[in-house]
Amino acid sequence: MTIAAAVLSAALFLAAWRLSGITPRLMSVFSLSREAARAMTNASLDDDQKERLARRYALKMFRCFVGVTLRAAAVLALPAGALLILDALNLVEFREVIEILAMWEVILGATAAALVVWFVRRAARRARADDD
Amino acid sequence: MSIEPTVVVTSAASVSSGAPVVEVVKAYIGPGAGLGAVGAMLALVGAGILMVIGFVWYPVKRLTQSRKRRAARENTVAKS
Repeated sequence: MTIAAAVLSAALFLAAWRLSGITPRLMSVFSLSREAARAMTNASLDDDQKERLARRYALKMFRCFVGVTLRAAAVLALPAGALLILDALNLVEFREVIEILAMWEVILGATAAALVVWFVRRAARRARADDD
Repeated sequence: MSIEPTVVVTSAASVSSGAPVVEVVKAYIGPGAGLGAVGAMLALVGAGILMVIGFVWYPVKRLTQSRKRRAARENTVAKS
């Protein structure tokens, strides 16, 4: 039951991650910081334009920070909440599940499995693109 | 026996008191949460730097430049 709860929490984490749309937000943080750096070092812009752009990018990045933080909190809260509910129902012990999830064998195995899935999906995507 | 990703932490309290209090804490952060944390920190630091540039640096620069211009104009008027 403890292992099933660990698998359930990992699956919930992955599902919440996908549904939360956190990945596009993270990508926009990286692209925004690149754009802002490019704008600030652009010699063809005058100080007034740079000032306006700096303010606009600052607000955009702050909005991204809030969005990413709230989404990450929600993504972590979902599996943790499910485990706490199972713990309250005396079906599993929260601490035991966390102990299992923090074992290096589990971390290494999950990382290897995630890499395999990623490679397979990328290969499938490329094969589909070649067909088109 | 399983080895867990832990870190031995000597707390600030133990350093200040001199008593050897050593705590073992879990220190693993997964790639998902790690990427989220890095992205959030980058966004916060970037927003902070850009706020300083946009709301402090350029207004102060404009102010000092206008003062210099005014002083130069007054000098020219005084000389003529």
